[in-house]
Amino acid sequence: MEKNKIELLAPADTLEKVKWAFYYGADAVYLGGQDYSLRANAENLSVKEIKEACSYAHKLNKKIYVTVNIVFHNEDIKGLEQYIKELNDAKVDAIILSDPLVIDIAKKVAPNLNLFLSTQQNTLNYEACNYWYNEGIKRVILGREASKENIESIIKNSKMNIEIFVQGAMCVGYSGRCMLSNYFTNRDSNRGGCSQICRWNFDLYNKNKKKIKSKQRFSMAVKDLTLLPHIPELIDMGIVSLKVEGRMRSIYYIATIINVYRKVIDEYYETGKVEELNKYEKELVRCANRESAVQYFIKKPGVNEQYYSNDDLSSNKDFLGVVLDYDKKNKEIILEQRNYFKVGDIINIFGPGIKDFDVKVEYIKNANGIIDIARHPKEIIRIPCNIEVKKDYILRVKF
Amino acid sequence: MTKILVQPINKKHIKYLNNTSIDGYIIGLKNYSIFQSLKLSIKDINKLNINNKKLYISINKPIYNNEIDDTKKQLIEISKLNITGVLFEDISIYNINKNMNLKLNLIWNQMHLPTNSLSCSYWNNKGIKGALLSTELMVDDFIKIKKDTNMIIMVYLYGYIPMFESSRTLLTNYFKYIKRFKLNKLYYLYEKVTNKYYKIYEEYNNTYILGDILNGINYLDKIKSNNIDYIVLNGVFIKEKEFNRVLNDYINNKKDDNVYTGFLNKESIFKVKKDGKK
Repeated sequence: MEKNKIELLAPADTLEKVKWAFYYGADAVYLGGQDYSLRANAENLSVKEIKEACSYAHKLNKKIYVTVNIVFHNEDIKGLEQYIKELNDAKVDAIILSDPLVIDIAKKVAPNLNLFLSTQQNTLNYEACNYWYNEGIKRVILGREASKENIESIIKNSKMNIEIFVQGAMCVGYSGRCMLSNYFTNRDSNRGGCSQICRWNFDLYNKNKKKIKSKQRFSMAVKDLTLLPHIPELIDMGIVSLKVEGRMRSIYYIATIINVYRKVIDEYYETGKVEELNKYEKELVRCANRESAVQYFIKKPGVNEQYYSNDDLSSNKDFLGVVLDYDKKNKEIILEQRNYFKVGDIINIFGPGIKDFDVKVEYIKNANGIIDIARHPKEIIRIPCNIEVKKDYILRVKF
Repeated sequence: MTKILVQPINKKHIKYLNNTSIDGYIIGLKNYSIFQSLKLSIKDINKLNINNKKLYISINKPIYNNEIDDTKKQLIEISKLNITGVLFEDISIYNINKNMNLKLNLIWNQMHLPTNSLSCSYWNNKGIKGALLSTELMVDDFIKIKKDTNMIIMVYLYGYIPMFESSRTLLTNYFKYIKRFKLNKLYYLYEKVTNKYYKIYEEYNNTYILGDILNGINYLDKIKSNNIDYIVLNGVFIKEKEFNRVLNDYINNKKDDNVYTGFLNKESIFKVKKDGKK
C-alpha cells in the first residue's frame, strides 16, 4: 500500500477468504480467532492459521488484524494472556479490542503489539478518542452512528487514526448496547452469540395493550450500509481505513465488494474523480442479498433506511463459477461451476485490476464431453474464451 | 454494609423517600440520561432537598461530538454541586473530568460493559471510584468482582432491565411506513417465544426497549454478606405505590417467591456448537 493511502480492510473467517480478499485488492484483513471474537459461530482461524495468514499477508506487504473483541466475563479471561502472546508471536499487525482489560494484558505480555479499539466501544466524540490515544490505542473504529460532520470534527480535534465501516450489515442498536439476544434466546450478544433478534417481526401493541393492526408487522430491521458514493469525501477527510463488514459472507461477496471498492479508491487517487459510479453501485447491489443505504453519514436514517418486508431478501444466483486455469492452446476457461448457466448465455468475467468483460457461452464441456447446461455446483467444466483469464477470476451473470 | 440507592420516579417521590432508610439517589441529568424517570436540570438538582442522603447524577447516554462543548459546561456546573458522584457511560466524561481537573467522583456505568474484575480494576487504576455492574451478570459474578477489586461496587437489583437502545426512531419509522399516526409515547412489543410484552418508547429521537422487571430481593442476604457496596432500585415506569412496596421489602429484607431474576442466577451462553450445546 502507498504511504498514507487510505486502507481497504476486508473481512475473513477462513484462510481461503483471507487469500481471496488480498487477491481482489484488500490492503488488510481482519479476522477472528477461535476464542474471544464477536463472531463466535463463524469458522474463525486457529493460531496456526493466523500465523500462516500473517506470513502470507506480509509477503504481499499487507496486514492482518485479529479481533479480540468480546466483553469478557471473569470466566472468559483464563488463557487470554497466552493467546495474546501467541498472536504477537504470529506477528499479527494489530488486535481489535473492546474490553479495556485487553489493554492491560497486551501491555504486559506484548508491549509492541498494536491495539485498535472496536466499534463496540461506541466511540462518537473526540474526547473519547483522545482518551484512547493517550492509552496507546493506535486506531479507533467509530460507532456506526457517526455522521460526516461528526467524523470530520473528530479527525480535526484528535490525533487518533480513524477507521469507519463502509459496507455491510449493521446493528440497529448502538453496538454493545443491545441485549435482545441475551433475553430472548439466552445467547450473549457481547460475547459473540448475537441471534439477530433485530431481524424478527413483532406484533406491536399500544399503551392499552391493543394490537396495532397492519399487514406489516413491526420490524426494527435495517438495510445494509453502503458508503461507496462517498469514497472521495472519506479519502479527503483523512480517514485511515475503510472497513467492509461480513466475516461470514461468501468468497463471491468478498471478491465483488473488495474489487469494486479497490477500483473506486484507486481511480479517485489517480484521477481525482470516479467515472462509473452507477456501474459500481449496481455491482454491489447485485452481489448482496439485502438492500443498502448510506445510513448515518449524511442525515439521521429514517423510514427509508429500514427493512419492512423479508420479501426484499433474495438468494443470489449471479455467481456462476471460479476460474481454475486457462487452456491457452484451446482457448478455454477451466472453471469450477457454482450456479446454473447454459449454452447461449452471455456471462461476465471479472478479476483484480482488470476491466470486466462479457463472453458468450458457445459450448460447455465436462469430463464426459459436450453438455448444454451447467447445473452441478462444483463440477469442473470448460467454456471457450478468446481472452486469457487467470486463476480465481470470477464468472457471473451479465447485468 | 450494603446501601440502597434509588432512582426516584419524580420530585414528589423524593419527599417520601427522604423519610425512609434509603442511603441515596441516582438522578438523571436533563438531556443526558436514559432509562431514568427523573431527569432534572443542574439548577433543579441544586434545589433538591435530599435530607443529607447521597446523590449521584447519571449521565448515561452516548455523547456525540457536537455535544461535547455542552457536556463540558454541564460537568463544570456539576462539579460545583455538593454531590456524591457521577455515573458515566461515555468515555469523554472521564477525559473531561481529568483534563479539566473537575475532581468529580466517577462511577463506571457503561451499561452492559462492566462485566469482569480486570476491567473494573483497569478503571479503578485510572481513578474511577466505582462501577455499576452489567445486568447480564450472575450474583456470583458480582461477588467475585467485589472480592477482586478495590472499587465501590453497585448492582442493579430492581426495576425494568435496559435491554436495547438505538439512535433510530423505530416507532416513528414504522408508523410512517404503515401510514398511521404514532399516538402513544409508549408501546409494547409482543414476543411469542417468551410470550411477553416488552415496553418500547422513543426519547431524544432514540428508541429504547425494556425487559422484564428484575427483582433480586431473594439474593439480598448474599449480596449483603459479601459486602457489595450498593444496590440500585430504579423507579422508571414503575407506579409509585408498587415501588414503595418493593422498597419496603428491601428495607425489611422480605423475600418474594414471585419475582423475575434475569441473569442473577442464570448463565448466558455465547458459543453454540453444531450440536446446539455451549
